[in-house]
Amino acid sequence: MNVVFALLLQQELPSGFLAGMQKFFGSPSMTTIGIWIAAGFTLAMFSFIFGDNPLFKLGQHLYLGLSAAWIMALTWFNLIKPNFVYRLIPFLDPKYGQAGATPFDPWVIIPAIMGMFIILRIIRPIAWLSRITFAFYIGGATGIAIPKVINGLLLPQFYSTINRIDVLPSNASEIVLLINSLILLVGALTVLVYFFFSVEHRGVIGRFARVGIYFLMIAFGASFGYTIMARVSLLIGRMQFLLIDWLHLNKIFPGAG
Amino acid sequence: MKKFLKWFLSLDRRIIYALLAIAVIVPILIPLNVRVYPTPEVTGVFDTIENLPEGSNIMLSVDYDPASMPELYPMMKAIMQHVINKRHKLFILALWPLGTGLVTQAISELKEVPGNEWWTEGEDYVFLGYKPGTTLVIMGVGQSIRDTFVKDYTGKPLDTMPIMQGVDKLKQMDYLVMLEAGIAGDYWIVYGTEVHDVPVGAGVTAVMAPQYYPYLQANQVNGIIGGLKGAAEYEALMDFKGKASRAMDAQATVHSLVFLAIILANVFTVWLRALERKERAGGVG
Amino acid sequence: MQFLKKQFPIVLAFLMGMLMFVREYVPTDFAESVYNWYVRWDIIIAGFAGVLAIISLVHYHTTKVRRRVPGYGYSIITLAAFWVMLVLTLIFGLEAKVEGGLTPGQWLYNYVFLPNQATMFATLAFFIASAAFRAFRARTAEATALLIAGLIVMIGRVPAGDEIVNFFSRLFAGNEVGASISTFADWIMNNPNMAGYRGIILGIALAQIALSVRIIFGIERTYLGGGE
Repeated sequence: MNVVFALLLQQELPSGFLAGMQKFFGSPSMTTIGIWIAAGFTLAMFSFIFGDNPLFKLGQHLYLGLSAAWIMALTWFNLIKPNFVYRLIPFLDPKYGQAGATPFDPWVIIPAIMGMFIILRIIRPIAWLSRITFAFYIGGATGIAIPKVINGLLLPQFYSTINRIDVLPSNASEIVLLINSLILLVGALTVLVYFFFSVEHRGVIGRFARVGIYFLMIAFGASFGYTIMARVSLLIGRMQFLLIDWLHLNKIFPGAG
Repeated sequence: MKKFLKWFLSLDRRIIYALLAIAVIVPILIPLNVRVYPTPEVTGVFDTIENLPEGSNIMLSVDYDPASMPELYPMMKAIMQHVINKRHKLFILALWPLGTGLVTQAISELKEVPGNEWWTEGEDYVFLGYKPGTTLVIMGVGQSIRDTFVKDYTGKPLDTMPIMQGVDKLKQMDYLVMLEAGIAGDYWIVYGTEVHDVPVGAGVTAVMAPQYYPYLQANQVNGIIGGLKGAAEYEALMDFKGKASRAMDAQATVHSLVFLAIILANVFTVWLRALERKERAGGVG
Repeated sequence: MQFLKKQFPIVLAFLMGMLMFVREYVPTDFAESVYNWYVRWDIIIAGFAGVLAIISLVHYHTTKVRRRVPGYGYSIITLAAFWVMLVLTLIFGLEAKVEGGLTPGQWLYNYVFLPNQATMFATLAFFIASAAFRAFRARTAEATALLIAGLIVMIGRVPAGDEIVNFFSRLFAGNEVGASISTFADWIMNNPNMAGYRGIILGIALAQIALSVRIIFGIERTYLGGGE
């Protein structure tokens, strides 16, 4: 048990063993094996375009398990250890008594208990305990959010919508700027009207909302163009991996990349 | 004719897939070397890093995971190399857990680039690691980096690192570059940079890019690097042909293909409808 | 007990919300230190919330295996991947301390996790291209606006658009027109697109403020979760 704790908390494995292991996994042969495995999974995932199949499902389930474990380990190493364990029990810190040691802070036990409340949600009779944590967490977050959203989002965004319309244009470029500013003003306001569902969209409001829809459609059209771009980029990235990193076709096709 | 139009409009999806695959694979193997011109959005980020005095503090927030890797990884590496070239100090943190492995990969790849040998952990850069809670981490960094992160990614104390001497708050950063595949970028603006008045540049996936234009116009970000194309522009600004620039050939061919396909599909639909209408009119008459 | 279950969370949310709100405008030492504690503590709480999600995932798949639900073989794969990765990473760490080395966890991340996740989203390229071909039609005025904006941005944001226009203008008019489509795409991005998203952002900001007020005053309680 002591060994397990040593492993988990201080990571002081025999350095020779640790270094050997790390060298082994970073060795060229392990890299080659890795690239072949990665290529296999890439092809397995691509097989999904012809329909769901066991190979795709295999890759998907592996990825699910690995990502969950990675998040768990990361939470342990990057959060629980430095922000909780070392603060509560400073002598577990490998730097204990030296420069850079974590100062003692017993109060971190409170968020740990509140965190446990969240996990205890899985036990039905005491699931209500998590409400205290959520109330603390969400209550504070809303109090912080109101002024921050007003100052950081609402006012600057609103101000930049109207601030460009301040002078009468005197030359061609200023006329263009004024037209663009009016497009911005009309677009932003009509979209806002469209989102204002408390009032029925009829009459003047309805006409405003209709203009808003056109602005939204143009914005979504732009997003559509960019989404195609994004998906194609991902495909190119995987193809570069298959063709260059795995098959080394750049040796046959000079300049390929 | 009608038959052809109908056949085209209900084209077997496998043919579309094959065409798409060819449009990607051929330009990768036989480059067309299309020209990439930097847009003002990308130049905004580049110029800020370029014009800051040597040794400025740059924070890099890595908020994506391998799902957006082909877009944001080349961008991240180009920005990091730029920061190295300008000898700025680099503070990296991750708000997404699954992106941390990409940061360490980029660091070890950059260390092997000739000319980067001097780049040292703890002196020139620090990878602070991941903390959960997005807005909380952003607010925490605004209060105290050391208190929020305590140790770096691998557990080394931040207190004793030369790079951390005299630096502890977001407002001491001269520039923040955020690499975003989700909503964390909006939080950076609302809870971080607007509060502490730090200039910020956004490197975002193409899906996110259109949403950042209001921030650009309001000067809440001073540049947008959108997707792989943005990364290619950044590489072009650095006079370096990396993965992003090389991908632009395939990007251009696929976009042309999809463009053509959508236009043809629309024209043929109208045409088919006109033919059918004519037939019906003829049948009645 | 009933108070702790029902009223206390509402009162706590109200007090925390008001304190944090007032702190922004009247920063007292007390409010400042509560704010500091709040940030410091809630990062830890957020970690536990993440752990809960993972426990649920493991629990879900374990139950599936135990009950032999059809397809439970895949759950075994998820569980095996989870435990192998977790144990290896806890023992050997996240990052290698040897130059050029890799920890087993990193190796699994690089060569198994990464290609799977990256490719899963890359397959969408095929579906979006096929869907665009089949369904993207100018049927109504709104759809036409979407279509035109989409096409211009799509072709104008890559080098191809200008090259195509220049090719045809060389062919028919004998001279190039320069960066025509990309300029138009730029204009769309910076004006109508920006205006549309400006409206959305303003809407989101207003909605967020309204929701926050509702939570502070206990009108909105769904976030507290179920249970009696």
